[in-house]
Amino acid sequence: MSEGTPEEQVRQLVSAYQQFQAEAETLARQLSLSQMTMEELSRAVSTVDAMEKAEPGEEIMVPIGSGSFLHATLASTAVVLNVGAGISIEKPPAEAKEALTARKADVAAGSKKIADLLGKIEQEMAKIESILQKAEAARSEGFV
Amino acid sequence: MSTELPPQLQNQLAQLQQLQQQGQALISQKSQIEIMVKEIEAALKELETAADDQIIYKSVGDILIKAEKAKVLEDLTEKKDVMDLRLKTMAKQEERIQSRFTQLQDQLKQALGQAPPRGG
Repeated sequence: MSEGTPEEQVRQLVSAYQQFQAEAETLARQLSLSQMTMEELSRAVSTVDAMEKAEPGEEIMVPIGSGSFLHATLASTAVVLNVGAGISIEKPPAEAKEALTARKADVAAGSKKIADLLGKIEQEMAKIESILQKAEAARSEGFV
Repeated sequence: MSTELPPQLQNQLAQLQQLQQQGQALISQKSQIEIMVKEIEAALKELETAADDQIIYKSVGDILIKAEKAKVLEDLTEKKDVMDLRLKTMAKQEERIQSRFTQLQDQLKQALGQAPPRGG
Protein backbone atom coordinates (compact mmCIF):
# COMPACT_ATOMS: atom_id res chain seq x y z
CA MET A 1 0.00 0.00 0.00
CA SER A 2 2.98 2.31 0.45
CA GLU A 3 3.96 2.22 -3.23
CA GLY A 4 2.28 3.58 -6.37
CA THR A 5 0.17 6.60 -7.19
CA PRO A 6 -2.80 7.47 -4.90
CA GLU A 7 -5.13 6.02 -7.58
CA GLU A 8 -3.18 2.74 -7.59
CA GLN A 9 -3.26 2.64 -3.80
CA VAL A 10 -7.04 3.11 -3.84
CA ARG A 11 -7.40 0.36 -6.45
CA GLN A 12 -5.28 -1.99 -4.31
CA LEU A 13 -7.39 -1.19 -1.25
CA VAL A 14 -10.66 -1.76 -3.12
CA SER A 15 -9.33 -5.09 -4.42
CA ALA A 16 -8.23 -6.15 -0.89
CA TYR A 17 -11.66 -5.09 0.43
CA GLN A 18 -13.44 -7.22 -2.19
CA GLN A 19 -11.28 -10.23 -1.30
CA PHE A 20 -12.03 -9.78 2.41
CA GLN A 21 -15.72 -9.40 1.59
CA ALA A 22 -15.79 -12.68 -0.38
CA GLU A 23 -13.93 -14.45 2.44
CA ALA A 24 -16.31 -12.95 5.04
CA GLU A 25 -19.35 -14.17 3.07
CA THR A 26 -17.93 -17.73 2.92
CA LEU A 27 -17.16 -17.67 6.65
CA ALA A 28 -20.64 -16.30 7.47
CA ARG A 29 -22.19 -19.19 5.52
CA GLN A 30 -19.98 -21.71 7.35
CA LEU A 31 -20.90 -20.12 10.67
CA SER A 32 -24.59 -20.32 9.90
CA LEU A 33 -24.23 -24.02 8.95
CA SER A 34 -22.31 -24.72 12.18
CA GLN A 35 -25.03 -23.01 14.19
CA MET A 36 -27.71 -25.09 12.46
CA THR A 37 -25.72 -28.27 13.23
CA MET A 38 -25.43 -27.22 16.88
CA GLU A 39 -29.19 -26.62 17.09
CA GLU A 40 -29.82 -30.03 15.54
CA LEU A 41 -27.44 -31.66 18.03
CA SER A 42 -29.15 -29.84 20.91
CA ARG A 43 -32.52 -31.21 19.75
CA ALA A 44 -31.05 -34.73 19.54
CA VAL A 45 -29.59 -34.44 23.06
CA SER A 46 -32.97 -33.23 24.43
CA THR A 47 -34.74 -36.18 22.77
CA VAL A 48 -32.19 -38.67 24.13
CA ASP A 49 -32.62 -37.05 27.55
CA ALA A 50 -36.33 -37.83 27.35
CA MET A 51 -35.58 -41.38 26.14
CA GLU A 52 -33.54 -42.02 29.29
CA LYS A 53 -36.74 -41.61 31.32
CA ALA A 54 -38.97 -43.52 28.89
CA GLU A 55 -39.86 -47.23 29.01
CA PRO A 56 -40.31 -49.61 26.07
CA GLY A 57 -44.01 -50.01 25.28
CA GLU A 58 -44.80 -46.37 26.01
CA GLU A 59 -47.14 -44.53 23.63
CA ILE A 60 -45.30 -41.85 21.68
CA MET A 61 -46.10 -39.47 18.82
CA VAL A 62 -43.74 -39.45 15.86
CA PRO A 63 -43.44 -36.20 13.87
CA ILE A 64 -44.03 -36.55 10.13
CA GLY A 65 -43.55 -32.86 9.28
CA SER A 66 -45.78 -29.78 9.15
CA GLY A 67 -46.62 -30.15 12.83
CA SER A 68 -48.34 -33.51 12.14
CA PHE A 69 -47.82 -36.71 14.15
CA LEU A 70 -48.46 -40.45 14.00
CA HIS A 71 -49.22 -42.67 17.00
CA ALA A 72 -46.47 -45.18 17.78
CA THR A 73 -45.32 -47.49 20.55
CA LEU A 74 -41.74 -47.27 21.77
CA ALA A 75 -40.03 -50.58 20.93
CA SER A 76 -36.70 -49.71 22.58
CA THR A 77 -35.04 -46.74 24.23
CA ALA A 78 -31.74 -47.47 22.45
CA VAL A 79 -30.44 -44.72 20.18
CA VAL A 80 -29.05 -45.46 16.72
CA LEU A 81 -26.17 -43.07 16.25
CA ASN A 82 -24.66 -42.21 12.88
CA VAL A 83 -20.86 -42.58 13.04
CA GLY A 84 -20.22 -41.55 9.41
CA ALA A 85 -19.50 -43.43 6.16
CA GLY A 86 -23.10 -44.72 6.13
CA ILE A 87 -22.67 -46.66 9.39
CA SER A 88 -24.80 -46.31 12.53
CA ILE A 89 -24.27 -47.94 15.92
CA GLU A 90 -26.99 -48.67 18.45
CA LYS A 91 -26.13 -47.25 21.85
CA PRO A 92 -27.84 -46.94 25.24
CA PRO A 93 -29.27 -43.40 25.74
CA ALA A 94 -26.53 -42.37 28.21
CA GLU A 95 -23.72 -43.31 25.79
CA ALA A 96 -25.51 -41.72 22.86
CA LYS A 97 -25.99 -38.51 24.85
CA GLU A 98 -22.29 -38.45 25.71
CA ALA A 99 -21.32 -38.89 22.05
CA LEU A 100 -23.77 -36.21 20.86
CA THR A 101 -22.61 -33.78 23.55
CA ALA A 102 -18.98 -34.36 22.52
CA ARG A 103 -19.93 -33.70 18.87
CA LYS A 104 -21.69 -30.50 19.90
CA ALA A 105 -18.57 -29.35 21.77
CA ASP A 106 -16.45 -30.00 18.65
CA VAL A 107 -18.85 -28.03 16.46
CA ALA A 108 -18.94 -25.20 19.04
CA ALA A 109 -15.11 -25.04 19.04
CA GLY A 110 -15.15 -24.90 15.22
CA SER A 111 -17.81 -22.18 15.28
CA LYS A 112 -15.74 -20.12 17.68
CA LYS A 113 -12.70 -20.32 15.40
CA ILE A 114 -14.82 -19.25 12.41
CA ALA A 115 -16.40 -16.39 14.39
CA ASP A 116 -12.97 -15.17 15.57
CA LEU A 117 -11.62 -15.20 12.02
CA LEU A 118 -14.73 -13.43 10.75
CA GLY A 119 -14.28 -10.77 13.45
CA LYS A 120 -10.66 -10.17 12.37
CA ILE A 121 -11.67 -9.89 8.70
CA GLU A 122 -14.46 -7.43 9.59
CA GLN A 123 -11.91 -5.33 11.51
CA GLU A 124 -9.63 -5.26 8.45
CA MET A 125 -12.58 -4.28 6.26
CA ALA A 126 -13.49 -1.47 8.66
CA LYS A 127 -9.88 -0.21 8.52
CA ILE A 128 -9.93 -0.18 4.71
CA GLU A 129 -13.33 1.55 4.70
CA SER A 130 -11.97 4.26 6.98
CA ILE A 131 -8.87 4.80 4.77
CA LEU A 132 -11.03 4.94 1.63
CA GLN A 133 -13.43 7.43 3.24
CA LYS A 134 -10.49 9.66 4.21
CA ALA A 135 -9.07 9.38 0.67
CA GLU A 136 -12.47 10.27 -0.79
CA ALA A 137 -12.81 13.26 1.58
CA ALA A 138 -9.30 14.47 0.62
CA ARG A 139 -10.16 14.06 -3.08
CA SER A 140 -13.41 16.02 -2.66
CA GLU A 141 -11.59 18.85 -0.83
CA GLY A 142 -9.03 18.97 -3.63
CA PHE A 143 -11.82 19.63 -6.14
CA VAL A 144 -13.30 22.54 -4.13
CA MET B 1 -4.17 -8.13 -25.92
CA SER B 2 -3.94 -11.89 -26.53
CA THR B 3 -4.79 -11.36 -30.22
CA GLU B 4 -1.47 -9.57 -30.55
CA LEU B 5 0.46 -12.65 -29.40
CA PRO B 6 2.05 -14.99 -31.96
CA PRO B 7 -0.10 -18.13 -32.56
CA GLN B 8 2.47 -20.40 -30.87
CA LEU B 9 2.36 -18.31 -27.70
CA GLN B 10 -1.44 -18.20 -27.81
CA ASN B 11 -1.45 -21.96 -28.03
CA GLN B 12 0.93 -22.28 -25.09
CA LEU B 13 -1.17 -19.85 -23.07
CA ALA B 14 -4.31 -21.89 -23.80
CA GLN B 15 -2.47 -25.05 -22.72
CA LEU B 16 -1.39 -23.31 -19.53
CA GLN B 17 -4.99 -22.30 -18.74
CA GLN B 18 -6.19 -25.83 -19.49
CA LEU B 19 -3.55 -27.28 -17.16
CA GLN B 20 -4.60 -24.84 -14.45
CA GLN B 21 -8.24 -25.96 -14.80
CA GLN B 22 -7.21 -29.62 -14.73
CA GLY B 23 -5.12 -28.99 -11.60
CA GLN B 24 -7.98 -27.20 -9.84
CA ALA B 25 -10.45 -30.00 -10.71
CA LEU B 26 -7.97 -32.60 -9.45
CA ILE B 27 -7.39 -30.73 -6.18
CA SER B 28 -11.14 -30.47 -5.62
CA GLN B 29 -11.66 -34.23 -6.30
CA LYS B 30 -8.70 -35.08 -4.08
CA SER B 31 -10.03 -33.03 -1.19
CA GLN B 32 -13.46 -34.70 -1.51
CA ILE B 33 -11.84 -38.15 -1.33
CA GLU B 34 -9.68 -37.04 1.61
CA ILE B 35 -12.85 -36.01 3.48
CA MET B 36 -14.43 -39.41 2.72
CA VAL B 37 -11.29 -41.23 3.93
CA LYS B 38 -11.37 -39.21 7.17
CA GLU B 39 -15.04 -40.13 7.63
CA ILE B 40 -14.27 -43.82 7.06
CA GLU B 41 -11.37 -43.63 9.52
CA ALA B 42 -13.65 -42.09 12.16
CA ALA B 43 -16.30 -44.79 11.56
CA LEU B 44 -13.62 -47.53 11.76
CA LYS B 45 -12.36 -46.08 15.05
CA GLU B 46 -15.90 -46.14 16.48
CA LEU B 47 -16.47 -49.69 15.25
CA GLU B 48 -13.18 -50.98 16.62
CA THR B 49 -14.08 -49.78 20.11
CA ALA B 50 -17.61 -51.24 19.86
CA ALA B 51 -18.37 -54.64 21.39
CA ASP B 52 -18.57 -57.55 18.95
CA ASP B 53 -22.28 -58.07 19.69
CA GLN B 54 -23.16 -54.36 19.37
CA ILE B 55 -25.99 -53.76 16.95
CA ILE B 56 -24.76 -52.02 13.82
CA TYR B 57 -26.70 -50.65 10.86
CA LYS B 58 -25.63 -49.78 7.36
CA SER B 59 -27.53 -47.09 5.48
CA VAL B 60 -29.00 -48.06 2.13
CA GLY B 61 -30.63 -45.00 0.67
CA ASP B 62 -33.04 -43.71 3.29
CA ILE B 63 -33.28 -46.91 5.30
CA LEU B 64 -30.94 -48.61 7.77
CA ILE B 65 -30.20 -52.33 7.51
CA LYS B 66 -28.75 -54.40 10.33
CA ALA B 67 -25.20 -55.52 9.60
CA GLU B 68 -22.48 -57.62 11.23
CA LYS B 69 -19.58 -55.76 12.77
CA ALA B 70 -16.93 -57.95 11.11
CA LYS B 71 -18.51 -57.53 7.67
CA VAL B 72 -18.86 -53.76 8.08
CA LEU B 73 -15.23 -53.51 9.23
CA GLU B 74 -14.12 -55.51 6.19
CA ASP B 75 -16.20 -53.41 3.78
CA LEU B 76 -15.01 -50.11 5.20
CA THR B 77 -11.36 -51.18 5.24
CA GLU B 78 -11.64 -52.26 1.61
CA LYS B 79 -13.32 -48.97 0.68
CA LYS B 80 -10.56 -47.04 2.47
CA ASP B 81 -7.82 -49.02 0.68
CA VAL B 82 -9.40 -48.24 -2.70
CA MET B 83 -9.61 -44.55 -1.81
CA ASP B 84 -6.02 -44.47 -0.52
CA LEU B 85 -4.89 -45.94 -3.83
CA ARG B 86 -6.91 -43.34 -5.76
CA LEU B 87 -5.32 -40.60 -3.65
CA LYS B 88 -1.83 -41.90 -4.48
CA THR B 89 -2.67 -41.93 -8.20
CA MET B 90 -4.11 -38.44 -7.95
CA ALA B 91 -1.00 -37.17 -6.13
CA LYS B 92 1.15 -38.46 -9.02
CA GLN B 93 -1.21 -36.84 -11.54
CA GLU B 94 -1.04 -33.58 -9.59
CA GLU B 95 2.76 -33.74 -9.61
CA ARG B 96 2.78 -34.29 -13.38
CA ILE B 97 0.37 -31.38 -13.98
CA GLN B 98 2.39 -29.13 -11.67
CA SER B 99 5.64 -29.99 -13.41
CA ARG B 100 4.17 -29.47 -16.91
CA PHE B 101 2.62 -26.19 -15.71
CA THR B 102 5.95 -24.89 -14.40
CA GLN B 103 7.72 -25.97 -17.60
CA LEU B 104 5.13 -24.26 -19.81
CA GLN B 105 5.09 -21.16 -17.60
CA ASP B 106 8.89 -20.84 -17.86
CA GLN B 107 8.74 -21.28 -21.64
CA LEU B 108 6.05 -18.62 -21.88
CA LYS B 109 7.93 -16.19 -19.65
CA GLN B 110 11.03 -16.64 -21.75
CA ALA B 111 9.13 -16.27 -25.01
CA LEU B 112 7.25 -13.21 -23.78
CA GLY B 113 10.52 -11.66 -22.65
CA GLN B 114 11.99 -12.17 -26.13
CA ALA B 115 8.89 -11.52 -28.25
CA PRO B 116 8.93 -8.12 -29.97
CA PRO B 117 5.70 -6.16 -29.40
CA ARG B 118 3.33 -6.46 -32.35
CA GLY B 119 0.91 -3.95 -33.76
CA GLY B 120 2.78 -0.85 -32.64
